[in-house]
Amino acid sequence: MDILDRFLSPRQQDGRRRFLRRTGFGVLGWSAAELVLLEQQVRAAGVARRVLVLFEQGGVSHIDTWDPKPDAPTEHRSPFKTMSTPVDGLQVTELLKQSSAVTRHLTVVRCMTQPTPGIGNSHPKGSQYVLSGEAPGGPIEMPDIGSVVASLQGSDAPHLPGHVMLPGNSEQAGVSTPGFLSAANTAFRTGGSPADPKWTVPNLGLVGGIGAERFTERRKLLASLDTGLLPARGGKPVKALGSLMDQASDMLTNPLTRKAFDLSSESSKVRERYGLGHRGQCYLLARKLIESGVRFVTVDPREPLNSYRDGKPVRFDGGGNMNWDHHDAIYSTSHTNIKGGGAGGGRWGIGTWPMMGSLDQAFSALISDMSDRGLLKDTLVCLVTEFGRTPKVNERQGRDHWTPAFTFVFAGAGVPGGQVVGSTDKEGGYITSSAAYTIDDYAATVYEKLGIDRSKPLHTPVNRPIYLAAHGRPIPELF
Amino acid sequence: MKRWRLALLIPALWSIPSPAAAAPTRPVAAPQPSELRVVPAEVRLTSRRDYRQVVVSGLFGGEERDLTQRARFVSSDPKVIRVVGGRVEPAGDGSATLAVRVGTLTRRVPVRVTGYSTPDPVRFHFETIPLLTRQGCSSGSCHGSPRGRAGFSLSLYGYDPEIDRVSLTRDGYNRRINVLEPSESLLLKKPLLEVSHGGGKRLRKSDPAYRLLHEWIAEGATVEKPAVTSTGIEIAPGPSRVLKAPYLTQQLCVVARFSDGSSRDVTGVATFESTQPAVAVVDGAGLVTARGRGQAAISVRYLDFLSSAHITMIEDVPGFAWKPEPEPGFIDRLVNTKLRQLQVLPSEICTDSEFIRRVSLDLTGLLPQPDRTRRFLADASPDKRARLVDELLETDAHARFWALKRADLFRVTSGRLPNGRADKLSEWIYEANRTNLPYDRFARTLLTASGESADTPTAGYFVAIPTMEERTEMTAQIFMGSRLECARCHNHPFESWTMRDYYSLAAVFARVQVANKTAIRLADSGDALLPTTREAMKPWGAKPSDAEPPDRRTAFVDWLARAGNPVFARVEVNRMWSELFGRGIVDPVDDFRSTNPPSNAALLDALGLEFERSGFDRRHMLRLICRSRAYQRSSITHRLNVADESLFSHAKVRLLTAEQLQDAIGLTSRRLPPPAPGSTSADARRYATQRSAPENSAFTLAFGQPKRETACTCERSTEPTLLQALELLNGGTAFTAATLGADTYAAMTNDTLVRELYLSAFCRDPSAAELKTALQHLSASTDRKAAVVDLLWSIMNTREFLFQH
Repeated sequence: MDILDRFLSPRQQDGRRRFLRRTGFGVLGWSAAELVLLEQQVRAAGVARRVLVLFEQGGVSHIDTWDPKPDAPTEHRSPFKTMSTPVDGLQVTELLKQSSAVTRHLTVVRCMTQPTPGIGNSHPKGSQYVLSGEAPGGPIEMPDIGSVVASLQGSDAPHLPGHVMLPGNSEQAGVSTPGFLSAANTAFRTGGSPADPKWTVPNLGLVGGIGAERFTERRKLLASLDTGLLPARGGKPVKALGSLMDQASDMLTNPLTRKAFDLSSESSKVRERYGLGHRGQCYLLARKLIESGVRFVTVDPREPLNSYRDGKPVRFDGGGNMNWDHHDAIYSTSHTNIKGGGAGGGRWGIGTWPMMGSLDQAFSALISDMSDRGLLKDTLVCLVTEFGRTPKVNERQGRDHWTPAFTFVFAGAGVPGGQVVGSTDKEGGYITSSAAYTIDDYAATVYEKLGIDRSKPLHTPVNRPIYLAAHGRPIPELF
Repeated sequence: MKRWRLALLIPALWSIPSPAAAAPTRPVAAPQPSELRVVPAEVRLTSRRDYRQVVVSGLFGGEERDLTQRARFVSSDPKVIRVVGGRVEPAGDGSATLAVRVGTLTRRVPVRVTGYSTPDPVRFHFETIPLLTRQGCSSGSCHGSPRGRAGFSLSLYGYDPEIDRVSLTRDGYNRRINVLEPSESLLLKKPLLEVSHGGGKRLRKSDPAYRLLHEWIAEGATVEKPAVTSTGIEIAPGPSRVLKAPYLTQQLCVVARFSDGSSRDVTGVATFESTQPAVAVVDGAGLVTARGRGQAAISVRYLDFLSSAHITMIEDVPGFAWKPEPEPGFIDRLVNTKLRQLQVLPSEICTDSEFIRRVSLDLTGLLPQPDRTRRFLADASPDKRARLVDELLETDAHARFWALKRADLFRVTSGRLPNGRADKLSEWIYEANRTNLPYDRFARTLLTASGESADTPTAGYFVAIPTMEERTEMTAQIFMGSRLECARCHNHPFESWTMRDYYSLAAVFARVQVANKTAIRLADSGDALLPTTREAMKPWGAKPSDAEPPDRRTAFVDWLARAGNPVFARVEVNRMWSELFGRGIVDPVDDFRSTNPPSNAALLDALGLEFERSGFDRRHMLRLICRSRAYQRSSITHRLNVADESLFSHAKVRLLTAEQLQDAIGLTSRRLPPPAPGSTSADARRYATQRSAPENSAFTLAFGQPKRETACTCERSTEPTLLQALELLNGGTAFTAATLGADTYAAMTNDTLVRELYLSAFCRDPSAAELKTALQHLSASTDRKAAVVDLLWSIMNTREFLFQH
């Protein structure tokens, strides 16, 4: 044991030793230069080919889910029982009953924190922070992490976009951005709900009544007439448009494009395992897209008011805005609209089906399914949110925004399974571990896992150098 | 006036790889110059560490070439001066003569040395700081980034010496400087890589920079506030030089001037950078070496000052022979002069079909009506192109289309200018175009407008820009061609704009207030404070003695909108030129700075003068340009101009803009797409190019129609995207137009149909092969309507249709 280990929990010591073993370093203090070298070593070990981000927007209550606090004062304690999991030292609440079975694949990071002032009260800013990996408000609007990845690493499947957002609701549309990158790297949002049997992705099928055969005939005619302006004359843009036309034709006619989005090709057993509702089918579609070669998938599955449960249409009355922003009546068994309520109306209680019920089922199904298919080997899965919720229950029986401590969960791409990183005090308010990680660290982790060299800047159109996750460092316990 | 300076990111358009890409060779024997010129004419050295770089030029048939590397230098008294490679260094107090010899010619330069034995410690503000810039330490990608690197933070290119002082002498547990053992200082050990350094090796012990930094530390790392300030730099031998074999080097010398009237050679601490390393490279001693044919700017930075030397490298291109051709006006004369100098042969003049399509799209945004095309093609008179230009310039469509471009820049949206105010400002811009309002009056009216924007539409310009900072940046970008935003927080990294300049310009707009979100009022107080010192800046354009004027904007406009302003006319003619050629003479059009020089400076100057001389008559300039042969060149290139992208030797092939394309589809199918539902404009004019507000439909957005969020023409992206390909192949706009348009065409006989379609789409007849293919397609089909739809669709997806050429 060296000196640094005295300040670390046993888990952190493990993580750090693994880190050092892998990187071949066993030095006393870490100087900045050594950290740079360490990061470079980590990069060589980067194993993710694809990333799946489950963005549960609104601020999921960590103390009701991944960071249970059975010893909190009664009046503020979560009503959901603490349960143990197959992993020693990892307890979760009963809302994660099914997920507890897959904990041997997970690292639960309980020491996430978001110290940037001014962002804690804003969902748009917080969401943008999570999507871009950098606190908004700086001189340059950062692109989504997914847009950066798509621009740097392209796609494994040319007939599919490199960065897909499922389904991507309008609130996030305002903060999801390719920033200074080319618009071609904008997140491709499918819209709608894959649980709807009539759901299709706009722009991915041929427009009204033009069958593949006629389309191919048209392309032939076009090719024979497209001789007036040859690439030799117009140079780069003329050539570029030609190859983009070919790629677009491929997207439109390649059966694999449709197949990647076609949930009916999945067995009913698999579909049921994820849950025949909005969230479950979004998670399943995400797995399909990852399997089809999409580089970066973000799931943003806010439950619609009119949705599906067990394959049947259902209306979640009162649930006009079902994200995780439980300012009011967080433990309601139906909607959260209460008399004299505040900003927390329009949701359903955290323990209900459209909230943790569907999340627990979908998440556990996703992890075990991806593990069975070998997808966890090279896919980094991240379950993220903007912040946590207050340890104290407010006068409207809700919990407000809480940025000092919250939980992210990771799996796949070399993330150790059955690991807990960090800890919070007995009410879940403040981090007690020496380790604490920010959303910038999360972004740095994603880039490093993908083997993206953060020491090389991107450049804005006016040539300002931009470093990726410039304020972050990869979370060592995830390597 | 301002020092228009620097740039790091010039588009890669300047170097012209020669067909026979060979390294320049150095012939041994060189001809004798007729005359020798030496800068400076006399040298005064005032301390032991002082020095002076001498630049020697020879005159060859009226042209100057650098001979510094070839000259022999002899000191008349080695006890007074030593000379190494043209660098005069003191050896003791006294007077001496430096003899400069080339062949049989000799020039003598008197030298006086004083203060040799007086102590001259290294000066932190004038030497240490520029050295940190020179070695790259304080660049934006290293310790000069806002958060520094690896815990060590410097101000960007040394704009704030106080930050640097604390960082160097206090932070980092004082380990950065070790006065007792200077070579143990991290400031030296890190860049030498004696200890690990994320930035790699940045210094060698043999570098003069090492010696200076070491000396500064050994002298106690003193940071005394200097009694004088530096006021500027000068580059010898001058702003531009031509390099041609066998003279492929150019020595530069940089002299800084100080507020006490003194000056000092700073070549050894200045930072040199070439914008086009393929054309010329520069070393730390200011020696430029040519690499290949083309033009490059060598930027020189010293403290806040940035200046450039423009280098043109010419070499003989095998097979190049200039073909004399008519040069009806100054435009063709100056374009051709540059082409001849760089040995680029222009393309032929384009066909009538290409011309009518090109000029109609450029001036009106629209494809010509088939009847007009027919008449034009049949017209045999020699001046028909000139008459067509005149005719188009008088059209309403021209005034509308060019108003749209302007409203894009002004960010005219109903969100910013509600309840019809946006339309009123657009209408005012259109009216200004229609009546050909002189551009100086145009600028003055907008920039001094006050009142409710519903009554005074021009007040909408400022209403649409809510903050002082944005007004400063947008006005500079639109009317001065400068991107100022970097200077809001630190001195501009690529040019000479300082924070002081920025806040002095901001002071012009500090009292402009928006009332009720719709009106402009002038406040009685309000200042622009320099963030570092909280000093209230004097407004730009005001003389120090001036009393506070009733409207600060007036003094600014007096400075700006007049003949003789260094940028006003040139920025605007350059914008017009760029709209017509697809590339500015300065490009991008809002990035004027010495490190982004015009590709043809004489041409831009002449256009600017002509614009001023005409009384800022925009239509006159458009007419001149469109009538020039340069504008009428074909886009077909050949071996001797295929690599040219900046000298206007051939037409540039460009994707139609979103609006042009939507209208082209409508005109070709002869069924206009309706405005998109939910269009923000109340104005339902038939053509997208003629509407005052962007409709931002899926189609137009995919093709880069701006949302009017910035004042930058770069908001319109020009690179083709996958989304565009999807819209073309599968989008509703092309699909609907083809389907609806088929009805009109299906009624014609096959032969007429094909000919009419080609006339609409391309302004020409089909070739025999094209006609055959099209007719075969039509007659082979059993479903005539479907066959016509498919033909229309195919024609509208050809690249000849989608591009302007």
